[in-house]
Amino acid sequence: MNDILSRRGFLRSSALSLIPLQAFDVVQSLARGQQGDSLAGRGATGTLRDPSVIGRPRRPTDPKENDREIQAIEQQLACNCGCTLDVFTCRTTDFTCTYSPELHREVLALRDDGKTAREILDTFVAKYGEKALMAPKPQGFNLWGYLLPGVAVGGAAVILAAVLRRREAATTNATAESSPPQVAASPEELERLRHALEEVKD
Amino acid sequence: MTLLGQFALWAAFLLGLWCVTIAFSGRWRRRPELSQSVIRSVYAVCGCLLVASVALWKGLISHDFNIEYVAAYTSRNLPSYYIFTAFWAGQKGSLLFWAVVLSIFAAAAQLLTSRRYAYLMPYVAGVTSAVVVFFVGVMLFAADPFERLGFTPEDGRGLNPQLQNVGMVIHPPMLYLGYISITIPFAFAVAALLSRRLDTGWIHAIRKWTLVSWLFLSIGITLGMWWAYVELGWGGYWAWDPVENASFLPWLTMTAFLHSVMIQEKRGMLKRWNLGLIIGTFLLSIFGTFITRSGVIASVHSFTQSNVGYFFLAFLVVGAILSFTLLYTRWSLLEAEVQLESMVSREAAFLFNNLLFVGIAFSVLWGTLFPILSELVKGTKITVGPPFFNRVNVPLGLLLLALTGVGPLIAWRKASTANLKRQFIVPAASGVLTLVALLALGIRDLYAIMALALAGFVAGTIMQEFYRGVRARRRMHGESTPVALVHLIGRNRRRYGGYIVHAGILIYFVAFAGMAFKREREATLKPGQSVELSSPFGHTYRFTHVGISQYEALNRIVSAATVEVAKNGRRAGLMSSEKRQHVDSFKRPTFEPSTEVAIRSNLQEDVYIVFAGAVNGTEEAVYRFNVNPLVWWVWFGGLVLALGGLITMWPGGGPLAVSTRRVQAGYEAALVGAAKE
Amino acid sequence: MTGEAIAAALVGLAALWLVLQPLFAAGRPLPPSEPLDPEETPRGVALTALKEIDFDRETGKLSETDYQFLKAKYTAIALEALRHEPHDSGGDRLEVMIAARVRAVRAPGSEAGPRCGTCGPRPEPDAVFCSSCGRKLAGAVVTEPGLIRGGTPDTIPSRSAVI
Repeated sequence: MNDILSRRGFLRSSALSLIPLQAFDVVQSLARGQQGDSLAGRGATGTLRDPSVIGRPRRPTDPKENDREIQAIEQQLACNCGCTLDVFTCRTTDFTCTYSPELHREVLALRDDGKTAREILDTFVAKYGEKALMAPKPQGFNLWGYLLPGVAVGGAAVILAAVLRRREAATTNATAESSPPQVAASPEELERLRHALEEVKD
Repeated sequence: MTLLGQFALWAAFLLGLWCVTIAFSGRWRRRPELSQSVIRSVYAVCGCLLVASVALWKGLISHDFNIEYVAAYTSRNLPSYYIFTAFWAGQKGSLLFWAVVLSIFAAAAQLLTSRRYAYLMPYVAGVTSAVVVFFVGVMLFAADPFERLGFTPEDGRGLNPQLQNVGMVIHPPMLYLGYISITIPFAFAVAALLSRRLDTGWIHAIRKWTLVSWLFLSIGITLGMWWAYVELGWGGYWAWDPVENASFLPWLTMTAFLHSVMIQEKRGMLKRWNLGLIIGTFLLSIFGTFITRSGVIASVHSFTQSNVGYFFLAFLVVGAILSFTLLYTRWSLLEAEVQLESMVSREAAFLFNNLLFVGIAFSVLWGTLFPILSELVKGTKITVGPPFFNRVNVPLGLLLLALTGVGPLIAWRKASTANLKRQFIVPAASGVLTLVALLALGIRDLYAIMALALAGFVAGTIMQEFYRGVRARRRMHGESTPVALVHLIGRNRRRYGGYIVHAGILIYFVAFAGMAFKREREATLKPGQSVELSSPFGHTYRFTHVGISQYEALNRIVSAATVEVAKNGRRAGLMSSEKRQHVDSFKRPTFEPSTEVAIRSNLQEDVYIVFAGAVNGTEEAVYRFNVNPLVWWVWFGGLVLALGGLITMWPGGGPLAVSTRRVQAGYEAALVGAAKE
Repeated sequence: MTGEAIAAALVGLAALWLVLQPLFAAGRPLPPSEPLDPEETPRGVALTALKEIDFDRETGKLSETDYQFLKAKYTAIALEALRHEPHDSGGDRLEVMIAARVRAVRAPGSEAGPRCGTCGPRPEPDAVFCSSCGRKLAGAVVTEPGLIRGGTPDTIPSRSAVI
């Protein structure tokens, strides 16, 4: 019993402390900032109290990392850490991955060698196999990967249209004999239908 | 509580087996007491699984770390609501969650289904129990949530930080509810096949269920996108990940069914196709769980690999063989009652719509499995990522969007082409105007232009439908416009609720097209330094790094990097993106540091800031800044979709409501009469 | 631990009783089967189709020739459905019962209901007071307890207009 009480108390107090503490800390850190250790635009860049909890240390951003062409290349290359992401997305999202920054540097190096986007992709395929591409090249068997769904839907649509047309012809022929449709019914029956229809709300 | 939990699982297993055996033996047909026992066992299984769930929750809440599951997914300092949701955070718990929710649905199906379908119910009980028995069996023989450890750890491992998010509290249950509730329509379909009563009875019995599971799936998928967007931090919401695909597949076939079932109700056609769609949808939902749990296909979502996958594969194969064999043996009973009257009719449009839905489902499945196939054929591993799916599916999706605008314009049964032209003028003009406007604005992205122009066309169709419907009611019944609108929707909830769903889908497409214009840049900033980013809507954002603060929270050490944002030169506020190092109650780190994104959203665009890390342990921070256009509209589209879905399934109101009430009164009178005799 | 074992045993026994009890209970007669939902009867489908065709013309989806064709065709189908409709189906049952009751009450010298000393036989079978003068009825007995209370009260007056 004692155990449950203390646990409940613990949870309650910790849940209560959660939000105010965060807010307090932010305020405090801003206040500290104004004392001069890291105020925006003034003084030296401060050091962190505990750099170990912030993930892998980063290098400053290279201007090339905002280069649209490099981004486009990296978006076509798969990261090989098992994340299923492309190199660009992985390196800008999964900051624990060590593979994607490495692959990124490889792309940069190849780019510095003056290679075109096509050549860089080819180099990667030669080095890591076809799985280095986010989507296989539409060649050979893999071309079928791209074409089959479209071909299947298109083919099915043609068949469906043909079948429908034939059936339509069949039904219109059948009805043509009896058309124009005549309603043969006694007045009581028609009255009954009218009565029944009144019940249907529209 | 593990003893009670395990006992309850065994009881559920054995009672479920009893139910399955008696139900499929068919002997209840001559012995009403047996059919009553079958149906009672559904309730009993549900009760047992509820007891087992309470036992697991008790273990989680009391921090009984001697239970392997509790130690693996919670810790003493985990916020209490995540302790509650840890129930479905791991493989074993989610199996139990699945089983208990299915058993609740199964009991609800027995309770809520009208007695006029009594001839189906024991079979329905048999099918649902078979699925429950499978899940309980997997738990008992491969993944026991009540498994005890040989020792008691001082503290548990805690919950994966990515699962510590509000989205994770709601998204998986919603998606599971969608997946699981598919079993009920499937059970009715199989029951109809077994009982050879293949008129529209079973279709009427499952009407609400199909809508329920479709709605849960839709909400679950949208919440999943939201979770991916706010939690995974890559700035998008859909990545064609195998698990995302797995949730999309049953949604596609279920949506196809919701359309084609109307043809069967109105015209008595497509019986085989509808049965096939329901069976396929169920199998795809099991396929989804197989993908998630087997690790056959790499995915960010997968549970840790285990042999549970083989159980699912076996279940999938056996289920497919049994149900399609059953369908085949009843093939001749499923003749269409009438033939199609015209190529130009709503029926024909629905057929093409079904073709596209199933085609997209096929293409998503194909892409998901293609790496395996290609490796088998060529022996080399390939990756099939978003570029593949986009290239294959975007054209099909646009075709479907176009059909969304065409279908509602065509009358049921028969329409003449000359008349159609008059129907098309307004929507087509709306589409063309959108196109011209887009070109005038200088937008050149082909797919985005097509999506937005088609959206204009579909919007024209939907508005014309409502306008003409209201006008017709005003003429026919002399109602005022608001009354006519309310009656229009209320009297034909399926049609006009469906149009609202279409509007939701349309909003999704517009939002998706917006993502083609997203802007992003990376920057390393010292405190006080700033960087600018211009948005596709012509705004200029200026981001000034303020600093990094570090503090402790309940179960984590937070490093928050704060940015001052100015929009078009005017200060807009502070945004903080965080790195979180989660720790257990002994302050030992539990997971790799995770990232919390900072997002500010408005109707035009989202500002999305990711704190990527610090340089050399200083306050110099590496950021990724994104401006993502129209993201808000994805969530709004989800809301509209859900609203339309709710209107569609709101009870009562049909055109024959008066007759229904009269018939019900007559039945109740007869019941009283029978009770007196 | 013992508490848990007892709880487990209780759960097991309760479940067993629930499932096996019907096997030992004497075979109770099944309640009469519920009538079809009007929406799934051929009559309902045909009537709805006719209304829908009217509405589709009104919204301009059907041209006049298509309308005439479909109207004639589905009228024929609806008439066919009405012809084949069993007469004692669904809703009619209530009306048949009410009609029988009314006949019994109106029949001269009927003993079916209570009588008021001044106002004569009362139509309400379970009346205790006269609905006309308010006097206590002699020999007021509850003859048919279920019909009025068991039926949905709001439907009965509205349907009586049809009779």
